[in-house]
Amino acid sequence: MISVRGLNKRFGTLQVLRDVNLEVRKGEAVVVIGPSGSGKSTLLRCIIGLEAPDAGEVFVDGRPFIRRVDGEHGPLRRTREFRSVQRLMGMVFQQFTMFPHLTVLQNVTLAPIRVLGLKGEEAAARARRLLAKVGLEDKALAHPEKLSGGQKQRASIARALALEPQIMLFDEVTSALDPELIHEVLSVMKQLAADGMTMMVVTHEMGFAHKVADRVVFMDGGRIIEEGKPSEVFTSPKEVRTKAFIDKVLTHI
Amino acid sequence: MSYEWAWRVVPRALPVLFQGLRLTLLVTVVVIILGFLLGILVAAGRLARNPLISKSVAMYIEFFRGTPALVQLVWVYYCLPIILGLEMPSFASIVVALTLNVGAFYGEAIRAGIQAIPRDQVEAAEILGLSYPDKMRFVVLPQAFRIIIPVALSLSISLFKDTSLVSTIGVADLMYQARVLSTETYRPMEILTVAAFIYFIIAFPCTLATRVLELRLARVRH
Repeated sequence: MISVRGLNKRFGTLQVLRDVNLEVRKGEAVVVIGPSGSGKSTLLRCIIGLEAPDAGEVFVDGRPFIRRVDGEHGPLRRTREFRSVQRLMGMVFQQFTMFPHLTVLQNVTLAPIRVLGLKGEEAAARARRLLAKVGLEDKALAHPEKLSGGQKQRASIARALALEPQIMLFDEVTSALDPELIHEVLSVMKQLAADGMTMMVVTHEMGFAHKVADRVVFMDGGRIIEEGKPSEVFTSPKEVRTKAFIDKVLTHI
Repeated sequence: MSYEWAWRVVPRALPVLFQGLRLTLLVTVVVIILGFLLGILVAAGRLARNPLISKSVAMYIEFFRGTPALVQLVWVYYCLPIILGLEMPSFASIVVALTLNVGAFYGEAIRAGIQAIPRDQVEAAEILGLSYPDKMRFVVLPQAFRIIIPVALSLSISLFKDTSLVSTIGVADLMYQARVLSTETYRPMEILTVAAFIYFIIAFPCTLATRVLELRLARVRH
């Protein structure tokens, strides 16, 4: 579903991604873990085309999405084809990105109406169905300011799903939440994985990674150090760095 | 020695002052509209990717913000016809000069409003597949306008008072009439006080309204 080949990304002199290769199969939930600054978020941002890599390729559903040869610069060109491939992916961020001047319902219907050309009622029906799915049917007419952090994140998930993406990317979506709100967001994501959605999740929630991931990818220093089934990576990591990281986060619990 | 106020000159002066006020308001409204339209272009130019465009627009802004409006007015009124060899009616000159002046200020206010929108809002709009015009229309500008409107209103109130500069080149606005009446009656203190009062009675409620609006817009933001 997603195919990443030879991805490299620098911010100034800092090399954030080094030769990253990754395959995500259809229906698979891949959880990316690793210390802060290991390049996890940048990897997601490159995959969805928010960040231009310095070199490498990204294919989505077999379609070429990003292709950069070394030394190419400047922002990605947002052509029609680029946007139509980008739309196969939905993304939820760590920060709350609900549009504050629109109601929850308007947030969710905006793209289906403007991008997919759905009629108002059609988009609203779809939005209400998705809001019910994330447990927010009674918040449709509220403005985001009236929602808790967890509700905002669930609404953002509904907004992304409204475009019927084939892949969902989650970039530390629970990191800005109060601890008691984390669970409600994770359980929506868990449900999504159970429904067979292809997912790439960057998170520090090791419990979630352990239970939900089909595959865990450990990154450090801009490289993929190790990947495998959660049972393998968490209990018998092959690499020293993975072991050190896992020991550190698990003794925490 | 004490000054004896002679307010009896006022009733006779009022009709003439109101006549001047009409022109003041006309200039203000015309310049607000044209200036804001120019401001939109200025903001777009300032945010343009092309450095040649953004740099030259930045120079224009700094020039008009950094020099006295009075000089700009005189320059457009006297010098521009000489250089370009075209005669402009005085009303047109002052509209051009003041529009160029406030356009720079509006432009900066609009640019600042747009840039105040958090990057992740823009990115969220992008990955939802919204085209550039849709992104501006549905996500960026509605939020930016909440920031821009109070600033633009207070700039407009300043403009209303600054139009008094046009009296120096003989345009018969409120200030001009007040100056003429002052010499005619030998009572500048009384006449100018009344003129100031007229400016105030229009500007002050606008300032209050701006403040109320600002509070209300701030409340719906987050």
